[in-house]
Amino acid sequence: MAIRVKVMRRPEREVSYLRATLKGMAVTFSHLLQPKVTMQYPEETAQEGFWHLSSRWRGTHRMLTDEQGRAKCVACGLCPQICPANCIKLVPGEDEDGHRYPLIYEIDEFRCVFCGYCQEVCPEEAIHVGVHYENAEYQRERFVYDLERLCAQTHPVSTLWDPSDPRGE
Amino acid sequence: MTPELKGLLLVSAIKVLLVFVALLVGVLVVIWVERRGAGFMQDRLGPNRVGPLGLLQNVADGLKNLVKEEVVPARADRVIFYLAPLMSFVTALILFAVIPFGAPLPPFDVTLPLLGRVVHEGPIPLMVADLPVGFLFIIAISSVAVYGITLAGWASNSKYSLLGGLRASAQMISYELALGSSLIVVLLLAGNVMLSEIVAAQQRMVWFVFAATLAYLMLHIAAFAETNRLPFDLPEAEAELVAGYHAEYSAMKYAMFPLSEYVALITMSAFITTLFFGGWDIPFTAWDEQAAATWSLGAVLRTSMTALVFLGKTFFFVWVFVWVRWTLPRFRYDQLMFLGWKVLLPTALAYIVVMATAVLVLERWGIAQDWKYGLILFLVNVPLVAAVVFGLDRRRVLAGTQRRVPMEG
Amino acid sequence: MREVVFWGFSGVALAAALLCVTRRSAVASALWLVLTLFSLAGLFVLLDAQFIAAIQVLVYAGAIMVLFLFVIMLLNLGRAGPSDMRGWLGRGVAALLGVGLAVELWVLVRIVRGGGFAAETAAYPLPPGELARVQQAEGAVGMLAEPLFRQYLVPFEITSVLLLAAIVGAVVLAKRKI
Repeated sequence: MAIRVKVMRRPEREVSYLRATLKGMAVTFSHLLQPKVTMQYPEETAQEGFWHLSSRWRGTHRMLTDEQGRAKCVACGLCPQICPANCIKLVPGEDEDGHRYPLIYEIDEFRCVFCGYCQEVCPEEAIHVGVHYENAEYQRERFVYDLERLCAQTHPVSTLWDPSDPRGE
Repeated sequence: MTPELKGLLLVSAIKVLLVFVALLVGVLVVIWVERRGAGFMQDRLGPNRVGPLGLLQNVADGLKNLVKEEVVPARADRVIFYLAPLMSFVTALILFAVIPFGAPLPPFDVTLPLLGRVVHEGPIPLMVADLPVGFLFIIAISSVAVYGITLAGWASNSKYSLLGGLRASAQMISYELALGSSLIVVLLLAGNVMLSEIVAAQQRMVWFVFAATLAYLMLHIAAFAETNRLPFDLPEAEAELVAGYHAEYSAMKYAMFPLSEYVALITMSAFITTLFFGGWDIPFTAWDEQAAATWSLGAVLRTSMTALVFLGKTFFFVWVFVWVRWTLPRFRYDQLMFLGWKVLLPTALAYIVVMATAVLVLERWGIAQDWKYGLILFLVNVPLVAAVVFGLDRRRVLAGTQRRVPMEG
Repeated sequence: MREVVFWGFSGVALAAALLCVTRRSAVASALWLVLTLFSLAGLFVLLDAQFIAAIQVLVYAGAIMVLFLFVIMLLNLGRAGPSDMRGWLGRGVAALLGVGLAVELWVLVRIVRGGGFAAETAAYPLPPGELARVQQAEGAVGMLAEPLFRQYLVPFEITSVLLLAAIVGAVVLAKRKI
């Protein structure tokens, strides 16, 4: 069966232009008095109140830490492997107990496409994309986040999209 | 120099300065009203950061335009390219010269320091020049205003600009006919083209919006076209012509065009006020109409009150212009020409005949030009307006896309 | 004072008219012609004929010249083509017309000066301030309307018939099917 196309039935007779004009002016005037939707950005932010970011928002990364303040990352190498933008640089290291840890862990946020695969693939739930959008910097170099900086981030982390709960309820 | 000449020069200089400053400040306010009004009608706030309530936004924009880079397109006609914005700005500014904006002030005879004895005989009319040609001056100069736009379009050496300029000239000539024809009715009623006389005639009778309603409606429609405002802003139609005639302009030369557009907007509003809404007349009262012979608090109060009333009326029409701009979509070009030539012009001509007959009959009957005269004319106007509105409404005047037969499927 | 203004306007009118016929670009010519028309309007004001001045600006500078510009732009006459005055024949005709115009002007000036060919057709100057007085009494429009629609009604109507013929001709030329 062909795709159903809805055909708008337009009135055959001429539509009154004057009446439509006056109606339109009434509409614009009523909107004049209605509450405004503008967010006064620097004073109001989208963190709280009327405007809020979705908990599935994928912003700049955050590395979670354990109780001793060390990164949870075990340098398994899955995140640089899956990263479609190839923006994660990971050099693994190993201490005398045989625990693996990242010697270097850098994310180039300029290259990142914020797909969230790194969070999805991480077996230790260490690397996360965050619910955060204020990223302005003065130098390009500052957009390469190193491990220390990733650990220092405090913004909430994304819940990503859950296939079993597609609407996030 | 005689004291009289000194008095005339002094008064003229003060009036010119006053009108000039008031117009420029008015433009800033009107642009602010337009942008905030647009914002509010679209459920947002509009510019509100610079200064209290965003009032200084236009000052900031003006500064920005002053320091921006001026770009002249390759192979543009440089002289005309520079001349065109000036042409539209100057013509827009001098239009206001003949509009009376308040009750006349009493004469004076004083001795000032530096100037010596200064005399002004007769009441001081609150208008820059009470020309004997009155509103003819306004339509003459506004018909010259089209040069700025047309030449800007031509000199830019760009196809979009050229199309905008061509559209502007065709549109403004077409609507000048409707404008002029509706003014003839005002001339019939007032018996003079001087705007001060027209205001006086309205004080004797009724406001001409009641005595010549159809003329008012046609003038208002034509005013939209003459100021290139939506729904008739085809010369700059951004959807089709990028920005039309000022597409190639930048910085201060560009700023001249919106500036002159808003000055023309204010002048048109003041013009409509003067012709059809009694000018500086305060309705239902007569105390504002007696000319004062000597300086007193009452005389000054009278003049300032009438000036305020004039300002209020003018601002109302400015607001109507803004309101309509953010409501109506743009006309198609054939619709514009259809409305101008086949609706407004014949209607205006027929209306002149009817009104001339009415005026002649009233003159034969010997009815004095007071409020009864106005009432009779109003009663003549009611069925005419009803007929025209009904005709516009029900007959196929503006054929839109509705007439296409929908595809079956 | 009046003389200074008069010579100013006449000088500008003459210079602009000269520039109008000598410019190569059609648009520039049209603009100089506009300036000429404006100067003429100024001269009319000096003669206390404000109404004529306003109509001069409104009709000639405002409407007709805009139409000229419109046509020039539509035909894209921005750059100059070859002159119409080609060959000896063209130049001869042009010179003849020029001389004819000069003679006509000379005759007119003689008539106005009063030493003319027939004393009764000689124009006579109005007393100073007369026009201004009539204008004060009857308004700028009434002053012209009275004689135009009473005394000179027939010439006026003949002119309108001429214009009507021109309009009909234009429509016939422009429209193939009527």
